[in-house]
Amino acid sequence: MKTVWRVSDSKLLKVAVVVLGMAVMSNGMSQPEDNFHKRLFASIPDAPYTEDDIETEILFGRELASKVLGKYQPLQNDQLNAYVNKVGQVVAQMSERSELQYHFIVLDTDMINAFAAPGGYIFVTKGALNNVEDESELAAILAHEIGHVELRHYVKKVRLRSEKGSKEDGLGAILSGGGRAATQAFNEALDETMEILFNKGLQSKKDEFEADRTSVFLLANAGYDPTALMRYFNRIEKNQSVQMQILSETHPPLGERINEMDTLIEKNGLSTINLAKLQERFNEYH
Amino acid sequence: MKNRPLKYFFSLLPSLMLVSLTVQAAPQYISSNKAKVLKEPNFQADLVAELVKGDQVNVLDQQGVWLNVSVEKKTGWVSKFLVRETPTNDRVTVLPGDDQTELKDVRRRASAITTAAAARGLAATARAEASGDIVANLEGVRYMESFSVSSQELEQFSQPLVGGR
Amino acid sequence: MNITNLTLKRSILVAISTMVMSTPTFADEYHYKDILVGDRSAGMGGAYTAIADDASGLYYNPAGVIYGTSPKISGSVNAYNYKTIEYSNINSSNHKWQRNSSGMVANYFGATQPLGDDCTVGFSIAIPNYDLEDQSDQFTNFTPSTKAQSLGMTKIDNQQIDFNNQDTTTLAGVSYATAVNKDLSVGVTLYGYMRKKELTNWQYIKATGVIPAGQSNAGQNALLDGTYYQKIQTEEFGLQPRLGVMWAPAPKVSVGLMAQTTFMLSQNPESRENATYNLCTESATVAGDYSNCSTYDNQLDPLDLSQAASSALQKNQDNELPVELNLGVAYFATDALLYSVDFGYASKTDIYEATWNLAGGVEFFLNPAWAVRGGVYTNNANTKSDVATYKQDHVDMIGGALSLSRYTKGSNITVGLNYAQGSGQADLFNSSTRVQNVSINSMNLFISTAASF
Repeated sequence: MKTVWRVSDSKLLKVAVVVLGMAVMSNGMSQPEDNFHKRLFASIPDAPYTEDDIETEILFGRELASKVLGKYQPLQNDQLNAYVNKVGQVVAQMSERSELQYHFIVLDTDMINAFAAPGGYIFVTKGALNNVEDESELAAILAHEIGHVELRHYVKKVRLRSEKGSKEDGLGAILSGGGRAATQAFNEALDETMEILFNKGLQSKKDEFEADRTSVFLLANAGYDPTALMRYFNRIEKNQSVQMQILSETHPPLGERINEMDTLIEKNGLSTINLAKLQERFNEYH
Repeated sequence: MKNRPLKYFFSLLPSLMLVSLTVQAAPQYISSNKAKVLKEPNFQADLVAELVKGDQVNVLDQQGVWLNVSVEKKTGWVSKFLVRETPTNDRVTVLPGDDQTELKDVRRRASAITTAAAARGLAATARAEASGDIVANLEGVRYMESFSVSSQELEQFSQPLVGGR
Repeated sequence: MNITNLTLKRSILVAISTMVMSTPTFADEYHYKDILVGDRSAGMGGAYTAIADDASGLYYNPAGVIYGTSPKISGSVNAYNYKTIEYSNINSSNHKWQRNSSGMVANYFGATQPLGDDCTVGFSIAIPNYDLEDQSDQFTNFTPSTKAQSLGMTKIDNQQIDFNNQDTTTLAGVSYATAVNKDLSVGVTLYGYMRKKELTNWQYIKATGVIPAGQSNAGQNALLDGTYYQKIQTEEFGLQPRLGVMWAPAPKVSVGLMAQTTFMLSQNPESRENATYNLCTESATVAGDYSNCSTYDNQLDPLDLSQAASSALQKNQDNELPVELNLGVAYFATDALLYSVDFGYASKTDIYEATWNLAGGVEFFLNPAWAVRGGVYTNNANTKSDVATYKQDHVDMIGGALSLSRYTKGSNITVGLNYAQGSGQADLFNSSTRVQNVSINSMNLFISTAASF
């Protein structure tokens, strides 16, 4: 056996000190959750969204909203719409994206679903409202959609940024061969998002669970019962009708979403708190 | 002589590690329109202070989804979802408003964004036709945008939410 | 006056040949870790078998790429490679022969794509070996070896050496990895293997001496000049499958095993040598008249002058690459700190000796945007250490690696340095009495980028 690797005692000691030092220092750092291969760079926040990006988003969302309203007409019930809008604004007040002006409306269809367009345009269907029992559940549905807007799920999916890209990524993008596009052709992005909303869904359980999670905490912060979305899902889970079709095709199974939320609620001690449900007020308007 | 380069590598690593000391917690900012600072880290605790968007807080500790903050001599707990490291943007609108400059800006920015689509030879209205047979319902959007709530109305509407049930 | 004395000619030619010729070094692939492939892996000394969770993983352990969470593309460029090989103890005049190698090579490109939750496919191109050695030496007016002196040579006026060796190995192929269960994954990479080598060794010598006693023209001054030419080349094509397994026996611990072998589909190892010498003696009657010359072509075998050796291309022994086994263990202490150790073993073949190598690496994230990596690795020779008997260079090397990476949300850029050095022996002149000392210093300055989607 060749003895090339001759390590003197003092060098071994030095190595041991270095390794030990690293082990000690590493104790103060965050631990990865599921895949321990994940490295710290995964927690780099997105390049800050500029005002241009947000304007792009709102303009895009508005165009998308006009398409959603082209597919399903808005319910011509001013009173109900005003109420839904008020509930939505109460929740939206607690949204971390306070730079957005959120808008809410009821869609005239029996399909059971809710949609969000980037920029803050939120839709809930008549069919969904028919399965809602109190104001907190309505708030929960709207909060879930606000979650999609807050977390920029659609924006990221179609990679919608303003033409003026971020300088930070420039060097890396150039050297790695321009792997990402700074802008998407508007109509391509619109078509893609319509596909996501009505046919395919985000195809990311993680995104939907994140939006559900946002719903729980938005509600709690606004003063609504945080278990509302779970209660709503439990009710509509038994519904096998065709009205559930789009929802089930574009989202993970309700059973899984209920389990995720249940775990979340237990972990944060939210099942015992006593926040508003407001069943009576809901019944006044619906 | 033979092993000197290796000694350099070994000594370089720990000195590099020492460079990364824990970053001091910088002040953070309320990102939601309203935020309640509570006495304890639970949603039904007593109110310590009510902050608004842009207010600066000093983060002292974190416990789950709660941040222990100090603001103007008071300390309390605020939900971490309402706080951000950088100050948030002011309200951004691109709706055609009564402000003349805004309208001009909107048109200019709109053309910057639609350049890509325009390059494909699609005009603004034709775009709507392009995606399937769905016709854009801009009037519906205006109807949607027409529902506004004043802050007093919102305050009144929120009353039943304070205190539960 | 012709020199017809066979013994004399033989003597002088023996003196020349033992000085000029270097052994036909065919099997020049003496080391397995000359180039550390990949961006993140190179910074960690190549200790990557138990990590292998990005595009570089296709090369080190395809089973690992299942742990990437998004499609990844990684490109790596070996920005600058500089190596010097110095041979000393060439002769009693303390000559040193130096071969330098420098150049730029893009040594890795890989792309991975997850398919569903359970499997990932990929494609990669790697250049694990790239030699571009050059020697251009000239030595003048030095004393020949004792043996040459005993054969009448008094001075070497001029010795020129022009040596050039290009040897590139390229791998390109596809990979497939799948999860067996949440702790175990397997993967396979099928590389097409291609190697092209071309070595030319040209030497010129001019010497003066005196015809020794007992020969015709004894006492006359003699002039000897000649050139020697050697060419060694091969083109190899084959398939190199790599099979990998990755197992997480405990949280944050990863164990990786990768086995590879190379099936040669075609190769044509060949070499050619030629030498021409002119031996001129000074006229006995007219001083300074060296017109009495004899020319010897194709005299490669100094012991058999009646038979000129053929200078046609000759077939050499087929190359046979070993089975390589790599075992790695990695400890993902936190999402900022990662340790890895690799042990590699290459089997014995008809051409190479069994060889083992060891590598260790560390990755540390100073913050989400900056990571620093360091590593140490061995690069042992796959030849026998008894150079006098087996004639192949034997230099065991040890290297260190250091790299710095800057991360943004979807991409990163890395700058790093590999430095390896070693000392050993060689027998350039096929002499069992004098072996050369060899010292190698090798440096790779690499820059690479990777992106994920």
